[in-house]
Amino acid sequence: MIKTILKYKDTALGFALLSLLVLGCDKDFLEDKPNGAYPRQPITTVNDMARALNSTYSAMQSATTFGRNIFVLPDLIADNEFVSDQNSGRFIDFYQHIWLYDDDNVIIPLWSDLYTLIARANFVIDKTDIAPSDLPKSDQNSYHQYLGEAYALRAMAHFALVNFFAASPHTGQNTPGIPYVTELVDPDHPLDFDTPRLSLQETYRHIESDLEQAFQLMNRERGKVYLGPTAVQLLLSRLYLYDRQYAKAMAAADQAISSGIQMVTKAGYVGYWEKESSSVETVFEIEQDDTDTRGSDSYASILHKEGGSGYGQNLAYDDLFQAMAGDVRQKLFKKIPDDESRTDNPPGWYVNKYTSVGGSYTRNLKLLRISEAYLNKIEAEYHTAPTTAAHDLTGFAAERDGVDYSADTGDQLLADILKERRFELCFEGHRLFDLRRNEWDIHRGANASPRDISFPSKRYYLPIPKTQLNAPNNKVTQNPGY
Amino acid sequence: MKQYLIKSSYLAFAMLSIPIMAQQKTVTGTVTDEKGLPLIGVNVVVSGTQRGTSTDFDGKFSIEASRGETLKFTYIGYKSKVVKVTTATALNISLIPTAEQLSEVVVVGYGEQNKAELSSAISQVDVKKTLQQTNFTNVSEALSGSVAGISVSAGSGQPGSSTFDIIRGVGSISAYSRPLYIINGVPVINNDPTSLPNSNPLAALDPNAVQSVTILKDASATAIYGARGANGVILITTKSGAYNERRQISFHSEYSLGDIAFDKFKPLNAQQWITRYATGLLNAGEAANLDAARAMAIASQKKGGWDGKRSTDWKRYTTRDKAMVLSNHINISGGAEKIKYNLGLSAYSNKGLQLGTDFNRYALNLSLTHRYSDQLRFGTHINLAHADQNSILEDASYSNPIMARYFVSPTVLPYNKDGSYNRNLGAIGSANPIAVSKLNVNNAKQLFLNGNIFATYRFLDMLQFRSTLSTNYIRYAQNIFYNPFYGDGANYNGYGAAIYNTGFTWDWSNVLNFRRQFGIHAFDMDLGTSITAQRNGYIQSEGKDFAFSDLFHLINAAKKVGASSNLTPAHFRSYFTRLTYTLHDKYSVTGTYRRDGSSRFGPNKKFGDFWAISGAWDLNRENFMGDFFDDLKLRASYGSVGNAEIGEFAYLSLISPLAADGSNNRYNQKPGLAIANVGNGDLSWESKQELDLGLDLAVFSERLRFVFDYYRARSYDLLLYTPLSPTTGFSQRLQNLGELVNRGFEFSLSGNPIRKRDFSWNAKAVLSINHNEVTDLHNLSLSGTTLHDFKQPAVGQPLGAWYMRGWAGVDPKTGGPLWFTDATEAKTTADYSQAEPYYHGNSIPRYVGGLTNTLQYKNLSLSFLLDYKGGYKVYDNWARYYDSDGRYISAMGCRKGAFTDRWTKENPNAQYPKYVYGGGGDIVHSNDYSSRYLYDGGFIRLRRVELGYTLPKKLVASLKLTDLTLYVKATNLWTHAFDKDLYFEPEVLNNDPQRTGYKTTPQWRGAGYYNVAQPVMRYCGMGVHITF
Repeated sequence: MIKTILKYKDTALGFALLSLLVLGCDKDFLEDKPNGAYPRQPITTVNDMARALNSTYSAMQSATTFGRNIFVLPDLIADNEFVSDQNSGRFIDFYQHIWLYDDDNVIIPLWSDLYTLIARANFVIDKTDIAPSDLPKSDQNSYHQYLGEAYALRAMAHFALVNFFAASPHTGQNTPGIPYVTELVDPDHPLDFDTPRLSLQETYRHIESDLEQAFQLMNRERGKVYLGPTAVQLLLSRLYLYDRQYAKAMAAADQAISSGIQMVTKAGYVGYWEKESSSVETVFEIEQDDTDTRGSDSYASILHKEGGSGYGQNLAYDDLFQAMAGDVRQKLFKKIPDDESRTDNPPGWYVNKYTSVGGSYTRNLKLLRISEAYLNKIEAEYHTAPTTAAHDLTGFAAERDGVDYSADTGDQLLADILKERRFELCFEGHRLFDLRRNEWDIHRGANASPRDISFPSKRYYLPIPKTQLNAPNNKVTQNPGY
Repeated sequence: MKQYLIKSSYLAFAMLSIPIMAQQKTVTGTVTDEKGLPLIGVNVVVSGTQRGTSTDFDGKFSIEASRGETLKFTYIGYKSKVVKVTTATALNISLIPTAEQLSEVVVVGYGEQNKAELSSAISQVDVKKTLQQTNFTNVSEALSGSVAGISVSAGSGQPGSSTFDIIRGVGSISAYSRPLYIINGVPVINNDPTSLPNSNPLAALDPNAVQSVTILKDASATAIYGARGANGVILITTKSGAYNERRQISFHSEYSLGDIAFDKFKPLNAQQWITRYATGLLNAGEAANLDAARAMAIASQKKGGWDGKRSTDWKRYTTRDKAMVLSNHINISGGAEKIKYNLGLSAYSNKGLQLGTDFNRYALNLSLTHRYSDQLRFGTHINLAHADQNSILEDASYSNPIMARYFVSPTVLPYNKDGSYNRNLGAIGSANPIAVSKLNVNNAKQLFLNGNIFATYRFLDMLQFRSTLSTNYIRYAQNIFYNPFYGDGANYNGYGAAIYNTGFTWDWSNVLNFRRQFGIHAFDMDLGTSITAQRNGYIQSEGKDFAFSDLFHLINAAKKVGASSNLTPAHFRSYFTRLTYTLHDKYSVTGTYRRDGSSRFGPNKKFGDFWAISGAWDLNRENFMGDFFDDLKLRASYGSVGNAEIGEFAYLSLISPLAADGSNNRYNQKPGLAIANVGNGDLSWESKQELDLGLDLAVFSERLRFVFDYYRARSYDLLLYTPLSPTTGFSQRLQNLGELVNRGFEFSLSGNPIRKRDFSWNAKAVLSINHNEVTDLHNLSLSGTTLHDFKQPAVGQPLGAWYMRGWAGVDPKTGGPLWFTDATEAKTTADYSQAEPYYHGNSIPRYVGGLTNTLQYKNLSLSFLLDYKGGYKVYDNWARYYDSDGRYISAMGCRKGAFTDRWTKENPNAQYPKYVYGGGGDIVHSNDYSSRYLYDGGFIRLRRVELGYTLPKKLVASLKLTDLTLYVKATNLWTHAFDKDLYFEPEVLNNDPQRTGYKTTPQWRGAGYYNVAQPVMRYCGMGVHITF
């Protein structure tokens, strides 16, 4: 009996000891690693550069930035676009000009998501640890190309930021611009990240320098869904135009035009908007496939309903539609079907620039088009050689079957140029900046509220978001008027 | 020859046994309590046989027994008694309540403790009374109102939905704050892995299978769980039978019908809606007079197909007539000398009120214990369940069919003339709620396995070793389908997703227990180790373009997209000890220590030490005390515990193919990599130090028992998403920085003032008051970040306090809105942007109480539970649309109450602003977020009421049964909300799993936040209990 007890005692004690043993031995028991990610480390292969670059492009797909809002806001705040009374509650604040700096649907993510895009570009630029000379030739080319695209993306995001958040485009050297971020945050000292607000001029110089750098590094076009030398020159021409360096603007526009991408003809105009990766006209478009699609958050869903889904709430003003009578571009405006009980008076129009390709609001978003290079050039010429501008404008308009422009100088010529630019680039996120750079007032359509805004006004730019102002060690000051 | 001998001895034995049988006689007697009152239903068993009976209403029994056999009398709450049958035929047995006994044990972490030696704050739920009498979907529901110190909020009428449980206040700002649930020794993954709004892992545990529920509240009780104890611990043990107990079969069936418990929302009918529209047009100057405006409004609606008369009641189209619960449960238990067993089977079916919602559960629980020898016992508990839940989208989606009632105009018709579903429903577009309810799928099939195997070995009387290997496995097979025609799926020609979520946990714990009395000194010591491993994984895929519009499996999808899978491991390794020393049975001290290491903690802080000390003084045993008190004990405890629910790998800076919002970084079909977050190598558990002072008191022969606790818990090192400058490209980073304090009182008063022979009355009242205050945010301005919407934590405010602009009503002069300029509420402004947001009070109930009464008269019993919650406010997130002052007017529905008292020149002191079509001008911001939509959430609710009738013993016996009870019952029969304007369920939680739901971390963000979810239900039904 005692023996039995002792036997079991041994077993139990052995069991207890075994358990302690198990606990003591397995040193890796608490060393779990994630299965879906890696701890942060520098980029050491060209392949990983491509992947990091992909994530930067991917950030452009967000509805809060290039995926939608960057298209919507300039046209909505200005005079192309209004929010129908049958709406989903989105963008009303921007239509009514009552946006607030703590708006976490649009203003806060516009700012922070663009800086997220910039951080991703900086991961490529700042944290790539490769000596290109050690690489085979083809990899060297890729290395430089990827680096160049990262610079171009960084410039592009900053350019968008400065357009929306810098107070005014013209009032001298001390006009505040935005923080220009060129390095990645150190995870061990994230609060030491120091990003003061630069002046507008300094910001422009940084953008220019990044674009120049990009152009130097790039050695090919990788297709319409990637930025290439043409896109960089087009962006440069826009930058110079905004910065009133007209000679440079013309030169950059010429460079872009000389890339050989043809302007879309008037016969192909409507069909062009239904195509992806068109060999003509498109300089750059944001890729969005089935997986990336924003669905009802997509830009197209805001502009029109498809098969009963989507919001179809942001419409073109009737006066814009009427003014385009006889122009091929008017064909992109569609009457709202009768079964949608809207009471907008006068009625608005669906804009079919960004219809789905294959349903589900899946489509690549055309962001840079070669037509803009021509228009940038014409506007720059207006300031240096008006007669050439008038001639080129007539030439451009002829391609669209539009207005016969007669003025060859003066305010009327500028008005004509901006009218043509409005017709061509409406709903592509330009209008507010086109008006602002020329110091024009905003006169909106008949059903708008408010209808008229005089330049200058805080309505031409957005407030610095509250998240930035409240951030630790914040160095960014609020915009005047907010 | 030998065979013959054996045979003949059998024969002889058989012959001998005849006279023995003949000696059996009828033993009768009466069983009373210590006061001489009869005890009803006492089990009387002849030991070692199957013969048994129970006492009748007079405490009388009658049983066949022979001289020399022993009778065993057992009764819940009383000490068992064994009596040898002698020549006497009438026995008078008196049983003594266990409450007065030292031997009553309480389940605690990794063991049991004598109640008398207990010095920590622990509540036990009377399982017999609360769980077995009423059918609950899950165990948590039974705790509501019956235990001090825990707040349980139902939050949803979705069958099988989860509850929001808080023990002694929310102790974490960013991490998980639900209690740790331990079922049969294994921690259950209670952070629901699914993307469904209302699934609940605990719902798979059949409440009928539960033997005991213990709630560990203070640090002394929870320190044995170290880094996982800070949110409190709920220990659930499933049934296991008893040795030497007659086999007992019980059957329980219940059927109830239900409707919404509290609903004062009334939409406008079509004519009222037109009047509203016309008023808006008139006030906007769009029409010359009301008649013209009315004509305009009618015309606009006729354009949409309205016939000018019909008024659509959207609720009627999207709900069933009644919700329904049908529950059946059968349990077999018993035991012999060496073995005890329990086997339960149950089927539970609940059809929700909302079309397309239901919950069906089939559960099996089995327990077997074998007493191999006096030293060795081993056994197993197995709980296996399959739960099948159909739910609807409950978040801010137009495919949430409940929205129609709130958002769609009554002039819109649900069907087209040809009988097809109308796809043009104004604000919610094509998401026809009837179509969506019928054609969309949100199904989760849960497989739940919880079980353990254990062995105990007793070396000596004083030393025992127990080893338990337990596991918990949860698998969700989830199917989502949005039909190709109506709502969200129309964009994709049908959208479907199939998701497998698995959660697997195992735990091996080994405990050595030493218990010995040396004269006046008593020692009780546990020494143990525990290792726990968790693996949570998922496999999912999505599909679009469905070949069959009603077959939701992805085999029908032309495009397969969004395939993904992952597996996330976590490990814990722990050592613990608990020592209790008691002197003279009067003074008791307990010390607890645990060391925890976890893979979740950053490399700089991998292991943590947790401890507690507590003491109790049993005053009643002092000589100077008279015999007035039956119990008088003072308790005090202090200790330090942790919260390890900080997420996996939160300390690492990761390069990930996913963005911070979970979206993929891919581009042009190629993978993308990005730095996903800013990590922190110091990241580790959250800490809590808690003081508890308690008093246990009983008087008048235990007729009155009073338990009081005061606690003060300081939670610190709380995870905070500290904002980073957005220019870094990252919005936030986790740090152990925050601090908050929960302090409060708990009162529990119970008694049975009347215990007459035919009439008894038991009552219990509990009340908890919790004061929560954030005390340190490390000077971080969390306000203004997007992290916490309307509930930005701030020092000096309770966590989850509402933060928004203060509504000051209507300007009598202009009819426009007014807001208070700041928290002083001294000045008002008509400019929304000039009004500073400020704090408006708690969103989590501060006062939680309950009153349970059970009255028994002869064979009738009546019990009811009144539930009370107060000291908090609830917010309607969508009222800004249906309470609109003119915005969204033409496309949306409207709440009747919000259109009654509108400002006009004749009615300048109205509750609501003037009503203007388009909502522009000075009412442009009037519908923006403000305290306009905030209501007092306090309520009293008749949570349960039940009237039962137990058939007379004689009648039952003639049916060869031991018990038969019939009852009618109701849950949430009556609700009184203190705020007369409140029109929605006060016990409300935001179910949105994507954003601010209570299911996602942190849960307090969803508290009190009405997001057009399914409301809590009222059920009325009847049932029967049969035992034989």
